Amino acid sequence: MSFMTLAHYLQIMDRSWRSQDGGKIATFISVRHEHAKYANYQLEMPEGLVDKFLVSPVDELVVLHLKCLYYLGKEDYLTAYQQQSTLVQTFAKILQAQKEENWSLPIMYTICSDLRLIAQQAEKQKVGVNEKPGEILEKAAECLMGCFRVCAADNRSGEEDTKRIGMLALVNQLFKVYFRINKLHLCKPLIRAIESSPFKESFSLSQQVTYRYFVGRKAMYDSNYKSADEYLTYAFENCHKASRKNKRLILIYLVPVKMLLGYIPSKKVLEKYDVIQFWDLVQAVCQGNLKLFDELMEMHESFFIKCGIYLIVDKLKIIAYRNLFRKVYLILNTHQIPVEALQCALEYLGQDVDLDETQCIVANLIYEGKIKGYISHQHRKVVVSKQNPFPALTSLT
Amino acid sequence: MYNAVYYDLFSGFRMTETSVSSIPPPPGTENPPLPPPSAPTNNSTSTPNHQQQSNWPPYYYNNYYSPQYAQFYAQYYNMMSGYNPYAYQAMNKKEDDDKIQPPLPPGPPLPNTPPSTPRSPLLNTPKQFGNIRFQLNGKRLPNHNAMMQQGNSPNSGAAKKKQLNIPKPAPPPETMPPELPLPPLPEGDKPPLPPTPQYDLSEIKPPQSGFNNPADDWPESLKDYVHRSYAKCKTAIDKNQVEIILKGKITQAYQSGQLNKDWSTEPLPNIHSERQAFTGQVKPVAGQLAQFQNGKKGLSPGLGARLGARASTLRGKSKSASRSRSRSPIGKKRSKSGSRSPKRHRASSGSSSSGGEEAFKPQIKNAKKNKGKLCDRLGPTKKLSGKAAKKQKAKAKKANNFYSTFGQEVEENNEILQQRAARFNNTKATGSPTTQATPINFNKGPAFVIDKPFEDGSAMDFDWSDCHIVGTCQDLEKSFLRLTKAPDPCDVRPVEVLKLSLQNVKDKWMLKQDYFYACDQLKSIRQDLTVQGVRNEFTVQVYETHARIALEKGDHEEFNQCQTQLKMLYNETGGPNRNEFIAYRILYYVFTKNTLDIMTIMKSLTKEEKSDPCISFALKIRSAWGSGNFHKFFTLYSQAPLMTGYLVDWFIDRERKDYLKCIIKSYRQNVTVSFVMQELAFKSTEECIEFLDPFSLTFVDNEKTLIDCKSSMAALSTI
Repeated sequence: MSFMTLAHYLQIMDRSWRSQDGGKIATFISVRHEHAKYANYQLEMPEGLVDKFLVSPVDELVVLHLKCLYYLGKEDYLTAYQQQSTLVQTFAKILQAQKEENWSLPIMYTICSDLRLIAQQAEKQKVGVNEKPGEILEKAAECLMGCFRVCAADNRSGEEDTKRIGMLALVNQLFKVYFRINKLHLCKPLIRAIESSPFKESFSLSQQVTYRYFVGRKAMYDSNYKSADEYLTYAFENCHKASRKNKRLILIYLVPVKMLLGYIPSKKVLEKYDVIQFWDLVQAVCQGNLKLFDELMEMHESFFIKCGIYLIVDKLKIIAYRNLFRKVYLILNTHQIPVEALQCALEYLGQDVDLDETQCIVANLIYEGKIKGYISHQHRKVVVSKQNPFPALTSLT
Repeated sequence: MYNAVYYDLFSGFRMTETSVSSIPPPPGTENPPLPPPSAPTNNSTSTPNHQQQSNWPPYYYNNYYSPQYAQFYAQYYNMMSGYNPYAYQAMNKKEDDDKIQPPLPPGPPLPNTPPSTPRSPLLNTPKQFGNIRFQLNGKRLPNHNAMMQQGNSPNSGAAKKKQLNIPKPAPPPETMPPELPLPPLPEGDKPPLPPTPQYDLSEIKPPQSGFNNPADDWPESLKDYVHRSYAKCKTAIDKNQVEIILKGKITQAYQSGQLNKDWSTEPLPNIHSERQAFTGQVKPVAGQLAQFQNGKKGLSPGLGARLGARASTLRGKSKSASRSRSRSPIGKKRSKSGSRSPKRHRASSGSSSSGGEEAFKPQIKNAKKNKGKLCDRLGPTKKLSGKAAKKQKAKAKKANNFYSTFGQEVEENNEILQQRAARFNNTKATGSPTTQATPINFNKGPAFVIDKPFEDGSAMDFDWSDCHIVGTCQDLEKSFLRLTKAPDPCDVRPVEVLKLSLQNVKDKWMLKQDYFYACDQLKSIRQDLTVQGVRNEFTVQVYETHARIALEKGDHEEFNQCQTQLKMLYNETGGPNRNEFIAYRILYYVFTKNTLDIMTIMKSLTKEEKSDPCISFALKIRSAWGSGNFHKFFTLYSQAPLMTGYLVDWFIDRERKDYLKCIIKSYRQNVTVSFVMQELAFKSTEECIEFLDPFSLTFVDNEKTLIDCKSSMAALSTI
């Protein structure tokens, strides 16, 4: 069974190249396209055939593409990666030579994202302790940077034809690599390049959503929760509703960030996007149920760590403390809360703390403005403000 | 197919030598104008090889050759310096070589060919492949073969239309590619470059008669011997090796005037494949090619990719397998009972008698007061008085002396071989014809270290760490010097010496605590290990030692380097102190506030590892730090196990300041200094006051026992 003859395929390529149909070439040079599955496209040495149909420079691209398919067919991802990498480098040169035109950008989008996907596969396939993890992805990132430079340097062309419009797609690919290999510091110059770009608003919405998702995550890791909230909210609201998987991914980061800032997600949303794991957590935090909180942390530890939100979810415990202390305050109905009472509550919920540690927790809450009041060490009392001793978290700056 | 290309590159290289050694002198001179100081030596040194080598056609050269042989080939390359990066290395090296080698007698006269023949630019570029087939029988190939690689190669379709339009199998004279001659090279230091083969061809054809072929003078038995040696070869590596061995033998025979001896009794060279079959350990190395592939502009990207791809599939598979990997299981739990007295800890690398293998075993750091100095943790020698330590030092010295005399004996026995070994960068010494000749220095470490094929970077940023050597230096101490060229075996210490060196550093550290000295020495030990590709328990020891010393002295940078290396080393060889260093790494990331890497570590931890006292301590510290539970943080700090306390010290002040701010902001009216002292884990009031003093806090009393928090609020910004 075959898809279409190779000759036909090559004719399509030839025609599309001549008519500068970047989108079509992009479709047909993707390793994710249907044709990639068929054996008649998986050629180790397609040069002879390709040369009969195609002219330079597109012939080289197709040759490399077919070779890449060959190695993918053999599941030799490392070699396939090498082919794809050369393909991207070759394309970068072609792109650079194309002045005042940007019709071929779709090709770049496709081959770059293919490159990253193959690199990921190669990374998985890599065995042996001597290989440094992330090495192939780093190489892929270098390769992508090559394209990025070509695009970023194109400041002569008019707005219609500028290659700089391709920058954001590359930045997004680079983000994906950098997040995978934990090299977030490399994102900073990319963010700066995009933020200062005059085409900031003209990038396609899908790219902007992706971009904001990553920038938001980065802000979260930098403990910059306000801007993380901003970016992630934009991403969540503008993400296409059919992309449920992406919306779910955004929510995984948006929920803890929002909770830290005092916003509680509704159960409906969590159910809709299949992140119901958060619901128990929401309950635990709202009730100040530290015991449940600890249990949940242990239960979902691997999930939280896998998503990279363990440390931020861990911080929600502070909110839980605040809510617990507020309950104690409401029960005792006094402005002078004995530290012993707080300690008792903590111990009841399975926290192994002494008076000094309790005091320290309260001190930290006061320091962060989550409780208005002060501690009298001499009297072992927490004296809370008569007005609004536990201000709403959302009101904090 | 792969082998063919690989092999061709090497044969291409061999052509080089021939070309070089047959450099025609300029008119009117007897000798080629070589760099004055070393010229005679070099010239004569090369001559015997010339005899042997001129079997191969002098078509052209390129710089593809195995860097292992750099030193050996140095003598040739310094004559054709110019673009070749290795040539420069080689030139630097030459001086040393000359010291080692006795000058050789002058060789036969060089051919008289007009010297001004320009080089072809095409062939001179390092990007060009020379695809000359290696001919075992020493006959020349029809010279068109030289230019035909692109066309002949079955898979170079993409490349071919980019290449010069060369008529396919054409008769020799017509195959000259249209080339522009280079302008004549400046005369001066640089010797004339070899004549462009294409231009010479008409003049020097047929080769055997066209120019002086010393091999013609060889006795039949020698020729037969050479043939038999090559007949044994199975792979390109074998051929390389045999060639080197033969060169050495013939050179030696020539020197000692024994060229006419009965070669039929000479044992055949011990070749790589045989040894491999015998030991079943050494894997063939096939990826040398890779380094030259990607990023090469001259190549058609298609061709480069294919070559690169092919080579890269072999990457990482051919890591020297001869390395002994007696490892202790990763994550093996040490029994850590309450009082951890330093126990004798014998590393399992075994064969050393240096006694320098006691791993640094830190003690648990229990009391706040006696944070054990590293020297307390230096294992069994810790109780040594100064005198005893000196004694031990002397012992070490003695051992070293013993060692070196022992080494010398061996050197005497195998003097010539040793010499040659040094010249050859000696990885090939193990392949020398007389099998008992393996010099002592080479007993250990990777026996055969072409090692891992090169990264697929460009040839220019060639990674020297990939070409491993075995050192011959016997110095106990050596200062660190960043390598700017290929390491020279006579500057590199073999593992045996390094073990003594490490002990020496430890001893001196215990005596003097001179960090500058220790760091310098340890860095040079690390460097020697790196260039020799030694990655075993001893390497782990060295890095652990350095990491601990750096830890104690707060050298963040060195510590980070060491712990990064250790992370990889533990993955490769394991080590009993793995968990301890995982804990240090977690704390280091807390220090650098690198939450992402903390997360990565947490992801990789197993249940057992999490219950390790050291790691669990680090995780608790992390948790307390993450949730702002200062009280817990400082309580934990005062119970820090092993050397974790030193790491926490790196950021303890940062946390103290944070907590102090927190206290001042949340406590009213006053807090006692003793409370602050206790909360901030200070050992004494004085220390606490000393810490508080710079912050212009307001005290209630003159004795400074009570801090007025409200009035001190103004000082918050100064903290």
